[in-house]
Amino acid sequence: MTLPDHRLAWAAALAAVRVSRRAPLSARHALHAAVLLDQMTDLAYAGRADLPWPALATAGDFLAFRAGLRGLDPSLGALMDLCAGGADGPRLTVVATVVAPDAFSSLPVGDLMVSLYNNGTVPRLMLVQQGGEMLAMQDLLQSASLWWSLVFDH
Amino acid sequence: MGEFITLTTEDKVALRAYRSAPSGKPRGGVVVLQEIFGVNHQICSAADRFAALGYLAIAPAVQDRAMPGFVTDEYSPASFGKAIEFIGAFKPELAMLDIKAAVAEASKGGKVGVTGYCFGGMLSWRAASDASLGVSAASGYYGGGLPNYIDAVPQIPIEMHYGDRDASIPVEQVEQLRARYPNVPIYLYSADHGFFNDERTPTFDAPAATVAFARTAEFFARHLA
Repeated sequence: MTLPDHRLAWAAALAAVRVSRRAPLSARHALHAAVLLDQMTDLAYAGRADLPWPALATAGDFLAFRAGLRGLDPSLGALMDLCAGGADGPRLTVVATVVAPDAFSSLPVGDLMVSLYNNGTVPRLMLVQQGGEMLAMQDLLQSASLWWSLVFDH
Repeated sequence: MGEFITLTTEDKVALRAYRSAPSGKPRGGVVVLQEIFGVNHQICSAADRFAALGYLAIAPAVQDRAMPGFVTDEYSPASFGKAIEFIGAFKPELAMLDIKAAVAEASKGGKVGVTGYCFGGMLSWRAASDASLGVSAASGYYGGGLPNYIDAVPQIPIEMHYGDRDASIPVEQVEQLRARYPNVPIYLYSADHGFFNDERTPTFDAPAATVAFARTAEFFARHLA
């Protein structure tokens, strides 16, 4: 897609993902990135005729389009649910996560320092789903932005 | 400027500590609590800075119970292999005994303030919440695991310093701390975790470190007089 507003929105979304990655525990920054990525759904729907996925290009209404997106990448659905703000929807929380011994050497220094005196755990921002399943928020943002790059990085 | 001495804790453990004395009569005492790299050159240097301000500075090796003799001036990931031994072996309640012994030594200079960085920042907060230690003021830097210590209510004047680019301490947690203790000065700098450590790049941030140290010095001057 090449509309100027798409490019601006996509650039803003990528910038927000970068900011979130630099402050990976910040729910505020992660939410901002999630909302901007979710907004790409609206823009993609507006230009759906150009999409390389026939099922999406011919989707009926916007809700059907969003349902189709969910099927293509689970991270998109998770972020949609978060941005919907439902009473029973997912929420963000920081969770102390145990680090496997062989993973210590790859931790950033700050993370490593703090983990050592917090029982070998590092804090991670997680999206907690209704059933209690937890997904790493940075992974979701990364996955969603990679998926949208297939659409908007042209 | 200083020397290593041996203190004896309440539970009869011999505790290494770096002692840095001012040239004249001390105006008070300062206990400097280390990062997770032992009482290394940078921590000794920090203690020397307080001695230069007129305080009797003591930097106890609070890591020694879990990792006897551990110290490194290397901050590369490769140097952390041994530090992992610290996990599970560290007992906060025993660290308080070490701090108590250090406070007793520093009190030979007068009222005692506690300061510390990262691991030591967390311990500074915990020390401030333990009235039995005899500390008069505390100034802590980017103590990680904030949710684990936010409920420890400070019993003495304390201030804290955090960086807004600290990947291990989100600004939201600092915000919660400030909301929970509105009367505690909690400073936020445009800096990363470890911004005070001038021997660790690229996280050292000279402007933030300068302002933070000035605040600590003023805080101690006010509360240790």
